[in-house]
Amino acid sequence: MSDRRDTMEVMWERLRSAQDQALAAPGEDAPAERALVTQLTGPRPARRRSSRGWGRLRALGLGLGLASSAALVAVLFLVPGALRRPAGPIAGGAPAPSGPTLVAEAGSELPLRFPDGSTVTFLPGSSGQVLRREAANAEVEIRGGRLEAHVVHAPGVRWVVRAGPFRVHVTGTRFGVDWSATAGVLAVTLREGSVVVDGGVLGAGVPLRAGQRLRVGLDGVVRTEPAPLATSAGGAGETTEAGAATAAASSGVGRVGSGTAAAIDHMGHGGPPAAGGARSEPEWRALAERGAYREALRVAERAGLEAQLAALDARGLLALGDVARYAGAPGTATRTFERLVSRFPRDRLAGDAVFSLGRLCFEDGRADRAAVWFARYVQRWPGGPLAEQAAGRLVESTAKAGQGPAARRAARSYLQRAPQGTYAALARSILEGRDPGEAASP
Amino acid sequence: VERLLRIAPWADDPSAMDDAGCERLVAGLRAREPWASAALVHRYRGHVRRVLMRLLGSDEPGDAGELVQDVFVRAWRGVGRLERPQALKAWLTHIAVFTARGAIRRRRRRRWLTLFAEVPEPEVAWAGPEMKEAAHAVYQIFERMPDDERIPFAFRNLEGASLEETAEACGMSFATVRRRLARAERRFHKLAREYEALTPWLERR
Repeated sequence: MSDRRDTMEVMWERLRSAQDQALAAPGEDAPAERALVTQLTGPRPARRRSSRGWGRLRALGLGLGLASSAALVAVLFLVPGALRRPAGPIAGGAPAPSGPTLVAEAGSELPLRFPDGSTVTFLPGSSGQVLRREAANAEVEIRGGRLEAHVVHAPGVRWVVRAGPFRVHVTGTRFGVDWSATAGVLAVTLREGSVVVDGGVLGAGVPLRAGQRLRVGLDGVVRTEPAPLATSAGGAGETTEAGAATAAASSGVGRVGSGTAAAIDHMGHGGPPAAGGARSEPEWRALAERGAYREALRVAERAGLEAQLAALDARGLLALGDVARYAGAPGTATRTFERLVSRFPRDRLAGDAVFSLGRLCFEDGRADRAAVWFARYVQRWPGGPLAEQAAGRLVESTAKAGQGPAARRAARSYLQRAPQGTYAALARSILEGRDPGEAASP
Repeated sequence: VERLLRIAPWADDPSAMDDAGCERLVAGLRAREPWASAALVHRYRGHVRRVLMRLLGSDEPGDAGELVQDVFVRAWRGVGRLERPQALKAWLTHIAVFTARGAIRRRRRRRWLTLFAEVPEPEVAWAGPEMKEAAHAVYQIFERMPDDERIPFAFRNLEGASLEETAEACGMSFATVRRRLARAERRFHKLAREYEALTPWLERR
């Protein structure tokens, strides 16, 4: 009997394999997929009706109709408030609900207050959802429109705003998020603190500092620019980003804050004037502000990179390093960030440079070097805005570098800091001795 | 559509479809986000096709294409009832099994009405002649088995599923699926003796 079973097992296996090969054969996959998606995203997706018989369908429809009516009645009676979507402003900010889709009607804001004191305000016409609301873990999704948030900084608290495939990782900060799902354009405007935006085309992430705005389109265009000054607490006085961003993305022209750039400017406008060796600095900065990073880097290099590295202040070096990174010149970026760290070791911007150096090394496949930089960040700036990210990346880097004991130490330390953090699953898998590959890296 | 697919590049990355990825996708589907529909199809169309092929034996562009469509439309409509977004794949599998069962029943009714006795040729184009004949015999036997035995039996053996996965996909309790599988195996082996193409597999070793 067992022999026969074994033989049949072989037959099932071969049959399975033959079917898999038939499915893997080159075919009309892409058009079929597109047709299916088009049908689902159409006004009312309907199943085919040709060969099924109308009677059955009508009966099914009636049944479904009755069932859904019954479900609706049940929901209305049993779960009061489940369908009550806060459409108007909530005076003073009601406790943030978790679950239902939130819609701020035209003409009124929808403010939400979280237990930690953080507030999120959906601006008129915007919609989203609170995906998670726990003591150390909050996630809000914006489906479309704009939200303004003020997140209260607390150690170990993980705050994430999702917009389509993008994520804004937040530590104590004040910022605005615009998301146009139809155009696929995200704009993050940072007023205080710092955030890291990742997901989608951003890959490992782009850190943002106060006074910066990041705009990213699904076409891969990424640009940072000075943030316009908010004209109200909610920033409602600004141009509506969803529309403007769409236009900007399609035309390829960045919209720079119309002469009202914030006092702190990523590209260095607030810093002291550059020394004589960096005469072309305004030119590359202007190019970088327009998102022409490669051209900006070429101009900076033409003027003498070494002279720039010697003359620029910390802010300017950070900007130049970012320009090199966005221009796809990791070597120049590394050199620039290293110069910042060596020339201004006590400047808080050195922390950003150290973090960027870790990331560059990791992207370059030098996980052991990356671990050194991330460890340095955690050690020097334990309360810094990128500390949790750095601690998590330290876990990832040491694991990838095959440094078992160091990876376990980093994992333990990370879990103490952020038990629900982005890298918690990875850290646990390392401590449990599982293959880190089983835990998806964030 | 190309653009929508680009909104969710993680849909292509199996490691990104962890619990949080599933939750995100389900939230997008519930909000009727076009990118979520694109991601769902892009990520799971292959899986759905495979489950349908296991149970039906064929993946002809016509019927199977429409069945795949049925599965996704059902999922799209019913996503509000999905209790655990993390179980998205298992839930889609269940819908595919349910859809295949409907197709088997319709096919059987049609055959009864039209006295059309032929079973569609199973799609194993890449297999050798021996395997092709065996596959044809297997699906002919399946046609002679009760649905409640055939579906879990085919799913478990052809998909290589565990008992738990089979029970979940077929919407049966663990005890029921085990009982039906035992009964199905006895029936399958009894019927298999009638097919010459399966003799080598029954007698080998």
